[in-house]
Amino acid sequence: MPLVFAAATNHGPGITARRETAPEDEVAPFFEGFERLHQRIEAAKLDALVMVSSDHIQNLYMDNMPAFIIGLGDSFPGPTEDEHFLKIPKTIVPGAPDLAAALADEVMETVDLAYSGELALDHGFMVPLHFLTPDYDVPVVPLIINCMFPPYPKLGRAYELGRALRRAIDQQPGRIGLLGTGGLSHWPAAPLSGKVAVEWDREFLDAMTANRRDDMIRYTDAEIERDGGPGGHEIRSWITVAGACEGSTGVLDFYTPLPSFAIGGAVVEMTIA
Amino acid sequence: MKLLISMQAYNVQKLIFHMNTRPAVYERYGSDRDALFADYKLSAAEQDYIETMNVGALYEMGVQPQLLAPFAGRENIAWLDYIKGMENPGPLREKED
Repeated sequence: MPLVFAAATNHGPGITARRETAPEDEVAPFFEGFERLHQRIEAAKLDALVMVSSDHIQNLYMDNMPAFIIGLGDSFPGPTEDEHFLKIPKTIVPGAPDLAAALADEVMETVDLAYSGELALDHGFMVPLHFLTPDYDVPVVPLIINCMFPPYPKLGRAYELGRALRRAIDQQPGRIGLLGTGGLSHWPAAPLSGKVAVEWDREFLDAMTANRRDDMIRYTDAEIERDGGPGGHEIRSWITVAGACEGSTGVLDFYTPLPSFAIGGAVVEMTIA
Repeated sequence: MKLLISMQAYNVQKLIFHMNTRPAVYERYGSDRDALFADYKLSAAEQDYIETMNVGALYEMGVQPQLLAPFAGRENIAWLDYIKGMENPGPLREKED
């Protein structure tokens, strides 16, 4: 059973960019939760980590926009953002090209993927990695879901992607982790930046921890945009993790609204059955 | 209501994407601006909004905020000023001669 760890959490750039100016009592529960997640990832002794995130128009534009794209590189530069903004030093994150190719091959039995040997990692990957594998010593397979320009892949397809990933991962040797990042509700870099839709977040988290597929995928894109904000489309990453753990439930480690980071913050860890 | 594909502001978004991700394009913005704008077929309004960092007007045109925020950072617009500019469209700086 090579999938040994599956979780989802946030990646908002404010987590590192605005940490110093955020009220400590607001953000402390978040960083404590991140540290617990860090410890659990370390304990999992991963050989590779498959990460699912959006791309924030750092690799992909509307001239060629895939619904899903997997990174086959043997390494990935990151972060793409300016160091003085994101406050994460530039580095090179090791990839796992053989694993990525094998996963892509099996996933494409049921879900079509684009692939690239030249992805760079933006805050969607680098903010979580900065805390969770701070030495960048776990090879990463990045998988991007288009959450920037509609039409977005349907929520049900994100769940199917997760199911396909699980089937593919389970055919591989080694200890493989899966981490979805993004969301929850937020209005990133927009006039409503800082708004957090607590009720919307909690409703989604209830559905995810119970792994109620139909409840997770019931939202229309317009409803997400209205109630969870443009950043709410990133629940697709969380849904993919739930799909990989179909038949299992999850545990909400914490949920806390983080207006200073302009996100609803949470960690959900799924049970691996 | 469905969210549909929109090619609105396609060229100006493409230019900002390239300036954010391709150092040579951003360098041209400093050294060969008029020709760069012409290559991307920007309207006079789009050129003005970029040069004056009128991020609110660009947002109202349909530019994705995820393009605007890193560009504003690169142009030394402070985060809070950027957010104010998104809330109240208007120039965040004067146009250079």
